[in-house]
Amino acid sequence: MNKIFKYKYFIYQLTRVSVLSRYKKTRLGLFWMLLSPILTVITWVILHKAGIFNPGDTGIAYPAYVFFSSTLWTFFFEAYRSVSESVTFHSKMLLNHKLPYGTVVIERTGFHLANFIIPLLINIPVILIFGGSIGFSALFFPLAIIPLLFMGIALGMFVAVLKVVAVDFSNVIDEVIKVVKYLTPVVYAANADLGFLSHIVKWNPLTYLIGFPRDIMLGLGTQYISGFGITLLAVVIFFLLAWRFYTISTPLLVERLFGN
Amino acid sequence: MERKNNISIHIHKVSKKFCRDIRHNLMYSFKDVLKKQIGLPLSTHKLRNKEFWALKDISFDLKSGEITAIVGMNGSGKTTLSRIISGIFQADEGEIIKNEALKITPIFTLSSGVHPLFTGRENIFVKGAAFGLSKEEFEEKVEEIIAFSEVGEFIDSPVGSYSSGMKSRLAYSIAIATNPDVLVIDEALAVGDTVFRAKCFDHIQQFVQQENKSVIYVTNHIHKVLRIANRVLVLDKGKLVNDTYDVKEGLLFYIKNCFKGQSPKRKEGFIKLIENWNINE
Repeated sequence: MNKIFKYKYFIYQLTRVSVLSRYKKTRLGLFWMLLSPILTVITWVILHKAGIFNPGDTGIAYPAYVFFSSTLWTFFFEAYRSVSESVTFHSKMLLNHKLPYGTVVIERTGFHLANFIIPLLINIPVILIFGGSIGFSALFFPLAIIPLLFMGIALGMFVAVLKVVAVDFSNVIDEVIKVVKYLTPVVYAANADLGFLSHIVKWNPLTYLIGFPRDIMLGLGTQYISGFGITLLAVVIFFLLAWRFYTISTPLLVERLFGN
Repeated sequence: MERKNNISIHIHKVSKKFCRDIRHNLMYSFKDVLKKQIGLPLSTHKLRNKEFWALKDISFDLKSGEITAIVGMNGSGKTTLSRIISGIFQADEGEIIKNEALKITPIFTLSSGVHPLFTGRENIFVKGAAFGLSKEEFEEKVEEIIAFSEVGEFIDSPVGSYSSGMKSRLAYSIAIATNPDVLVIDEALAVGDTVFRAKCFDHIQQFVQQENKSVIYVTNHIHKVLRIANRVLVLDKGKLVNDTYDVKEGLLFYIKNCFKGQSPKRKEGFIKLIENWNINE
């Protein structure tokens, strides 16, 4: 950890460069994270209107609910995806400089956060347009999404290692996470009738990691708070395990990076 | 003036194995990662199927004041050795003994860590930070780097628009600004114009005149070794086959014993060049 601190200026510079190069190349870069939630809204509102699908009682206007839940899902998924690329994305750098491996995880996290702040701000008016409202509890929202972020980073650190030594495995995890989106109350409410799937939703940590900050932001109360507390503890343990796994494994990786 | 050449790095029986086959390589890596996770020792001294020794039992002392050239054919293990010395790769066997505080700056491909969309000035910060320079150190060094690199007004243009010579000049200037104790140069000066290369060689020679500084220079170029080295290590298929302070002798050994797949005429030419070389010319 001390070593990483020594490289704080490097982390800053690298993050700066990756964020800026993204904007140098694309104008859409800023908005594309907004695109995915909007597409989700369109799909599910149509399904809902067509009567194929009953999302349950979402508490507020359905489009606003889907939109903001999807945004939080994207926030989680992008944190996972960015961090999972930390070793492979920076392979050339790691092959040619002696750097602590933690630096690239922090850089990918910073890159993700920088990319997300603007879409998140744009979100607020869109929520209102879609018929939602923002409560006073929204002030605590930035704190409430931290566990979700760390969940994404932790998963990303596991997969960052697998991406080098077990590519098939990492692809499987990628796909599994995409499926988990539908086992999390993103396009439906927590009280929706899902039959046997309700059990999985109940035990899915993302139900609480996404549900709690969403309800805080939209002023929907604190129905998730006890589950959130327990999940928080689990995330801390999971993160420490992931960090250990990552730091023990990475010294073995660098010489296998030639293929990347 | 007689100066004591202190040992800066002690390289003791270093071995490193690689795998020829990508599928086996991935499988071994996966196993090794799992083993390490549960605290089992890795079987480092035995070769598994399709593995080979990229380096085997390499021992030598790196002393201050020396410019040590590492020569060898492609695949002889030069770059692997310099990556191990730089701390980027871990040796499977043996050890690298050095002072914790010893600062090693490796220069491999000059383009790594250089971002083409950014200006030379911006890249100084990124690449320099990758070498471990702090913000404060930059403030005093930026102008020095720009001056040494001789890129002039191009410093505020995107590096993507630079010629390869300019890129390497800038990268070299950044690396030396880190003021290392050991500078590891791996083929990095292969590009760049002759005038700048001469300037680098002069710089390297002055550099090792300072106290406790040394240079490892990895190359295949006979001329460059003759020009600057004062010690030659010859690697052949992962083994250290010659270690001598007689640069000419070391190079002749290399040409005569390890220089495979070359026409006899080319060999003759190199031998003549080495024998007739006069540093003062």
